[in-house]
Amino acid sequence: MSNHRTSTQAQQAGPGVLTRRRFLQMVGATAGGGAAMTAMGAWGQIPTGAQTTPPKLDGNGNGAKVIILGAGPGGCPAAWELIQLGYDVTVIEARDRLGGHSFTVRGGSTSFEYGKGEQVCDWDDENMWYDAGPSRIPFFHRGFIHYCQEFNIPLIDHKNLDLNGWVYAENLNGPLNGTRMRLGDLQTDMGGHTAELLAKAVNQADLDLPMTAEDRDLLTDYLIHWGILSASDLTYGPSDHRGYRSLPGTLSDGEFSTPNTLEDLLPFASSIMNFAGGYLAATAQADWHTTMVKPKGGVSQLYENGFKKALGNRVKLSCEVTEIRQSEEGVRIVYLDKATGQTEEITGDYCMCNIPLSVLIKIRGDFSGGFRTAMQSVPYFMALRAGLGFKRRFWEEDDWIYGGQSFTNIGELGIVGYPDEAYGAAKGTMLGMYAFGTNAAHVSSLSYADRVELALTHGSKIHPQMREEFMSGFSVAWHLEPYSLGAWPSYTERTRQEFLPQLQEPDGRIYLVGEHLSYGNGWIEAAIQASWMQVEKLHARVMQA
Amino acid sequence: MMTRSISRIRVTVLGVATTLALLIGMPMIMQVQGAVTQTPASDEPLLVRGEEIFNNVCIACHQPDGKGIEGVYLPLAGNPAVTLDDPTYFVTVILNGRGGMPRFDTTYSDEEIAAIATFIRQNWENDAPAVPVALVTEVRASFDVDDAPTPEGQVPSGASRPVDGEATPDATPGG
Repeated sequence: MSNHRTSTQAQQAGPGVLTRRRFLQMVGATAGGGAAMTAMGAWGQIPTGAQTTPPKLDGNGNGAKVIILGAGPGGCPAAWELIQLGYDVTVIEARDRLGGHSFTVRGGSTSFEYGKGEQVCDWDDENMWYDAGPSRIPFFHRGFIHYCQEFNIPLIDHKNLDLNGWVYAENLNGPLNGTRMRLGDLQTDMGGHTAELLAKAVNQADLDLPMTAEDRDLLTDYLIHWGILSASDLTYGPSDHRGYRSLPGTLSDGEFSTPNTLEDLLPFASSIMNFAGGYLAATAQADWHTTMVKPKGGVSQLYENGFKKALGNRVKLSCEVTEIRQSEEGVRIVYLDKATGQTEEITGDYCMCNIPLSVLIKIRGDFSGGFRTAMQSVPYFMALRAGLGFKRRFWEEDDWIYGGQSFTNIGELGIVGYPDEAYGAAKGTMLGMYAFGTNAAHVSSLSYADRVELALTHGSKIHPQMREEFMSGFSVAWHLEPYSLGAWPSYTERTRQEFLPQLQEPDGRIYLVGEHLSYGNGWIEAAIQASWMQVEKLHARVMQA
Repeated sequence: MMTRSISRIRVTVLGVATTLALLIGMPMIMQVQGAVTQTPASDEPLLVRGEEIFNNVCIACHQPDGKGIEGVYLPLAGNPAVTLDDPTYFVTVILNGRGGMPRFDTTYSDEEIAAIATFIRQNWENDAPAVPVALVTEVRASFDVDDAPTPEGQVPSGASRPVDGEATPDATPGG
């Protein structure tokens, strides 16, 4: 990573010696410029470490029989690639749909959680849906984009950031406590004030900084343009970058809005940064660089439309795996056909298992002791996403927000997200709550109705009209969902080093697939990359035999 | 939900905490996350905090009656692994997670972990000694100090910045 390179150079000067280079690096880091430069370095070329297309493999599987457990983001691409390599593939899926954790909720969708029972979505409009699992695809997740292209699934922008989105913070000091502010105003104000401070600091001659006059001029010039400072006195103030109090029109040239003072902003900005810093800098982190994409109609489109048609009747839906057996000769999978209530068996040469580790360890199976220990040693993270359906798109009509997100420091609420398509339609669904960790645990302990009630209570602080326009809500707590039992694994460096290598290798005739086999946990792309890795390994073995 | 009188608990906790602290060679005054913490003279706050956390968080999977969901979430009530004389294993599981159970080492302080563990060990029909904070400190220290969780896709703690000399992975939300 490029920050390695930078730090090495800095260290070569020895500790305690403030060289010019080192000083500039420090300034860059504190001003946020370091992140931008790192990013440029990373995207100046295609990064390595991930495949952009499925592995191109020679030879034919000649009908070797592979049983795939789970039609999720790992199982689907594994099945499809193996089919094309000439394998005889059967996919056993416990849910009544493909996609697993990738789940676009719309009218008629159902879910089940332990302790809560079944939930049915009653939205009655084609523009009412939300993704209860992953919802946005970074542009460098080439595997996902590859399959969307292969199956003709249209992609649209996922607008991660709309500067009209709100930022709300409470329980803090100062006049901005319990108020909402436009994200763009916050960003422009904090950028402007920071630029002003820095520009004035580097231009204080008596500081005797290890910078040349040319360095100062270049930096000052940059800061003037970046922070929208007055070139004459380096102060930050109203401008057409921050925006208007009254818009230019037939009556006047308009009037700029007034920045908040740094003093007022600091408690507010700091609180938001502490809670959701990465979100606030929503495009400053590699995972969220623009442009992000998603299938039109939600992430499920790739599975319910794309892979479902491609895999056809090779997928057995509503069949819950109860035993995973293997011997020298092959594998034997026992499953409960939930439609008939009958226990069935299927045999094959190999098994590819897309079942999350949290669920897999509760299934009887012939795993070696070391493999079982590895599976048991991976804890899972908790997350909950609620969708709120509204009869009027007030965020568009009243607040002029089109896509993007609003941010709060309310742990239970997390973030709020707005739909990226069907702007101007009558009805719509908002991502009304995205809670993590212990917050997700707490919210999930409530009934479905009380979760939605809590989302409305908190959400009304940002959108007071929420209750008036509300129709109904839906929520999924992934740690309570029987076939997920968690959002994604939370490895540490130690547990990853200790257990991931083993989990990536086959245990006899069983190969795992899924995002838990990678470093990019929680992302669909991680599951795709893992599938490609395992397909390559399995195919090499079959070709050798 | 507490089934015992506070005064009884206080006596039990104090006695056991003292004994254990002596056994494992920890001083009675311990430094925990920058705060000087007296080995409890009264464990009312510990148990109150433990119950509060249980009712907010643990309850989601382990259920109000502590019985969990059969075959899915382990019971805490009447579970011998929870009430062993030596709570090291129990504390380890709370800190590191296991088998799909989340890790709580980055969420809670040593005192809070001790509070959760003590509450669970003494609630319902469970009747086991309290867990001293010092024991949690010790168990935590037995794992790598730098063993912080890695990026995980999607956790929205504040943006973690790469530190000089190491590529500290970001805790990023995503998906």
